[in-house]
Amino acid sequence: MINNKHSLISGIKLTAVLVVAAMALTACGGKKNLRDGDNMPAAGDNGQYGQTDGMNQGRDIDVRGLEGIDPADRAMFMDPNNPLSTRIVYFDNDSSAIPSRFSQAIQAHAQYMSQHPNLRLRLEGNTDERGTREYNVALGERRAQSVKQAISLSGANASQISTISYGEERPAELGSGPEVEAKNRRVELIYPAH
Amino acid sequence: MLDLLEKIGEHWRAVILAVLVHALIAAFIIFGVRLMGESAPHGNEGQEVVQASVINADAVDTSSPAPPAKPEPKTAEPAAPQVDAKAEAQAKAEQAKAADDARQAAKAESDAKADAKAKADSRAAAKARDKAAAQKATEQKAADAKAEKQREAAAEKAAQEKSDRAAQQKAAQQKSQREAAAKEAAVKKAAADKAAEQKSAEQAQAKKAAAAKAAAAQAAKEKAAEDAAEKAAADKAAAAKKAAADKAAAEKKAADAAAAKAAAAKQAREAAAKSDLQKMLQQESAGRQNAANQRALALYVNAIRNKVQGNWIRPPGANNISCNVQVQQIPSGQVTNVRLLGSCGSEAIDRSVKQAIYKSSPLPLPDPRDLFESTINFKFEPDQ
Amino acid sequence: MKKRSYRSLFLGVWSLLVVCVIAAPAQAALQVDITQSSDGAIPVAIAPFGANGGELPVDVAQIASQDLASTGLFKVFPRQNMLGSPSAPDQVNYKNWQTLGVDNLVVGSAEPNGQGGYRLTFYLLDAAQSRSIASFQINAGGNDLRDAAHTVANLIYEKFIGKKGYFLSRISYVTVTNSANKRQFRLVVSDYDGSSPTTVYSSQDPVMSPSWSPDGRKLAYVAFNVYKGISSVRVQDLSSGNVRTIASGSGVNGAPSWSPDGSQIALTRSSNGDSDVFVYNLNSGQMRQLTRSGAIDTEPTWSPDGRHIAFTSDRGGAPQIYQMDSNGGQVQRLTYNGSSNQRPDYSPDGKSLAMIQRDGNGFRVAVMDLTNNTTQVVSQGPLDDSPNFAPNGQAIIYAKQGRNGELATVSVDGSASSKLSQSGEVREPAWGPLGY
Repeated sequence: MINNKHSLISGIKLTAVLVVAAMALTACGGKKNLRDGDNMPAAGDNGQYGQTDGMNQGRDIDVRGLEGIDPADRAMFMDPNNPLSTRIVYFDNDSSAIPSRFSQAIQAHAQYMSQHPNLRLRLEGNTDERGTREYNVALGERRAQSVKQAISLSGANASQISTISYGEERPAELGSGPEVEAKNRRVELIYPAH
Repeated sequence: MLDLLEKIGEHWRAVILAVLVHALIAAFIIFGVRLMGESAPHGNEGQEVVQASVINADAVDTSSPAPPAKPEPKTAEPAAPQVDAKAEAQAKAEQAKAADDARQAAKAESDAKADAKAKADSRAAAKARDKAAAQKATEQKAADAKAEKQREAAAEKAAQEKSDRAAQQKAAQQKSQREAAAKEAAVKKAAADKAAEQKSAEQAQAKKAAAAKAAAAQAAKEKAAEDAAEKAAADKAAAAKKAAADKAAAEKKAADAAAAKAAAAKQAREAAAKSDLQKMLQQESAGRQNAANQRALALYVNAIRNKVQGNWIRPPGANNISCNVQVQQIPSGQVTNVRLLGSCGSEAIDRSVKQAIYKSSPLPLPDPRDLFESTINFKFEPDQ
Repeated sequence: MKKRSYRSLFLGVWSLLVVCVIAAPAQAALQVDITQSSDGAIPVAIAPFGANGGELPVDVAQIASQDLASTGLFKVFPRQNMLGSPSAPDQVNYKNWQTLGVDNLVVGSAEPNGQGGYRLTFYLLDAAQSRSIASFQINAGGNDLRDAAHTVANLIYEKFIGKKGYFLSRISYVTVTNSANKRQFRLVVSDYDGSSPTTVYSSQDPVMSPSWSPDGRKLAYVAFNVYKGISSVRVQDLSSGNVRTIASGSGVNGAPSWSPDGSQIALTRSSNGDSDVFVYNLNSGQMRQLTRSGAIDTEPTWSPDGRHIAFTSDRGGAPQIYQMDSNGGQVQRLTYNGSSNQRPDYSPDGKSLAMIQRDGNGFRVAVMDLTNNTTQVVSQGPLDDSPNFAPNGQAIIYAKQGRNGELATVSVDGSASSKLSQSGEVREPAWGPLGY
């Protein structure tokens, strides 16, 4: 009996050490930035945001964007049978209207948010590469706003939702052609930790 | 008449002086010295400066063998391509007018020259006459003194001097009267010449206007037929384009058509210029009336035009260039003087025009050689 | 009476003869009409600059030749075909250069000026007419020979084109590089031809839309912080590195454009997802809203006289270019060709507008003449962006192909083009002022 307890305690210690080490590893880092004298922190910290090349972003099942979700609930957001797992809304050409196939997901997110009034949601608007860059930033913002409206109309508090647009600057997929373009016309739902 | 000969015999020195002065003037006119225009360009590096001389073209090289007969006798005027005949006639008229203007300007210039020369002549004649009158006075004095030697010296001297002065005054009066008469006569003659020349120029203009009118009438006929054909062809093409429904292809076709139209218009203009040029030269020089010479002249002009065009590099962004350049050449084709009649638009364009002409030196020579012209008037007016 | 009439008769006949002899030759002149020219590149040869027997540390003639050739407006004579290298007009044998087909020749020399620098003297010669066109003298510091070479090119350019050359100007652009699956965005400033690049800002998050201050000392640009989810418009002093953030937060903060007097910056901000044009006063810090349509209004650019701002708006459906007074009044639409028009940029004389026009061929650079409302497409597409006039109005720099980007320059009538040698992906060029 004493042996079991002992090994249990050392097991817990080991786990705790590992967990702390893991947190330390993920928390530190951040590259040095030239001309970094203002309130913009070292941009592009590694860890969950380290992959900025578009290869791993925006996939429906992804850890990114769930940092603000209670870990107990994260499984729901990763279960493909749960509408909460849909965290990317795709758009048609030159349009900011939400296709009807996303209504269920939008309602689900709105409901979850109304149950968690301290939760913050950030909507990231994106476009395909056609057209000029700054106009695409504005177009992405319009799409983000469109999703924000839909979610708040479905019951969430609009003050919990912020928007940002990257235009064509952060594509989900590189390359050209209609299929790639369709993948890039999107709004991503991000629940940041802060 | 005998009086005149006597007078000439008496005052032979004055007469010889007068003749000499006139001969000098004549020599300067015939073997011309250029007093105006740019100095020859090749002065900087100690190269020889070749002076141009005005040679009566008819006197050049009549001993050259006659040109071999051409195998295919073409008509003097090539068939006019399908083109807007109105623009053709208009261009012709414009060119005729421009040539007219140029020639009238040249004539005005030569008239002014004639006036100046006549004035110089009478001034020189007056000068010679002054000398003659002075000589006459002194000679008269000696002759009177000889004849009057027998009379009382003092009283007769006074009387002589009186009569001398009277004679002098008389001579002076006669001189000024004669000068005025001579001046008048010269001016009248110059005016008469001017009137005669203007008349012949007007006649030429009238002839040309009539010819242009006839050509325009004929061209208008042709235009009516061509318009119908063009319209049918254009309708067909438009229908075909619509069926294809490709905007890019349509644009390209429009651009091609515009280019073809521009090329056709240019072709028509060259044909008009050619035929116009031939008509002008016909009227100006009596010795070139036959058809073979007309064609040779057109070839000559074309050879010069092609060479200069090939050497003309237009500065970028230079639009709406239109300027006239007067060029002198010697019978080897070497260019000896280039004179811009006004700026072509900018210093850079002026320089490009002059460079084009100098790079084309020696200019192509005509066949037969007696078509050579020492003065060439260039008009730089590109189509864009 | 009889004597007088004979004399006048003789005089009259003589005058008539004289007049005839003068008048006759003037009529016999050939008339040749020139209606065409050959290709438009101006031939010029720049002989190596002499240096009192030695060699200059910088090959001035080579740099000036490259400058002129890069415009596409000059055909530069290759050095290996030159038969000699004269340094002054009295060393020039015009006949030799004429046989080589050289029309315009530049000869020059540089000698130390006793203060660690050089005095350059050079001559522009017309080889076809065997005469001198112009002579110049430039004083340069010891490290400024490259700039002196650019000045030589500027002076020659101005003599032939009639406008100031831009070879001392600088450009700014964004490069993107990939390493270890991470993208790095850099804001770079370089000479007009891409040489001597310097990175002025670097980030793993996107950087966009550089805009030069009129005095060429500052750059405004857009930076993102993905971690925080915000965008910012920054104004950076290029010599000190100091940065001032004039707009920052969620939503849109972008598309900065400097006013011609350097006191204001037009930019785009959004509220409730609606993007509008604002103007920020750098002295007072005041932010004023100029457009209030419910549509996208962005990409503002100031006219050179400061009286108008052109911008992109889709208030009519597809994006088109509009113009308003610099206080926001009198909005009027400018573009009607193609299916859309975006990203306007005024020419330095205010008479033309460059833009990106979309039609069946994709997105291409077009130039609209504001005096007669005609438009000409000057690039090939299919995905061109960011057109920017050169400070002398004779060329336009732009980005080709969006993502696999490179920069190209095209002459303002579309006739000559060249590519900037750059490695990696380059986009978003901005052309600074003349530099002198």
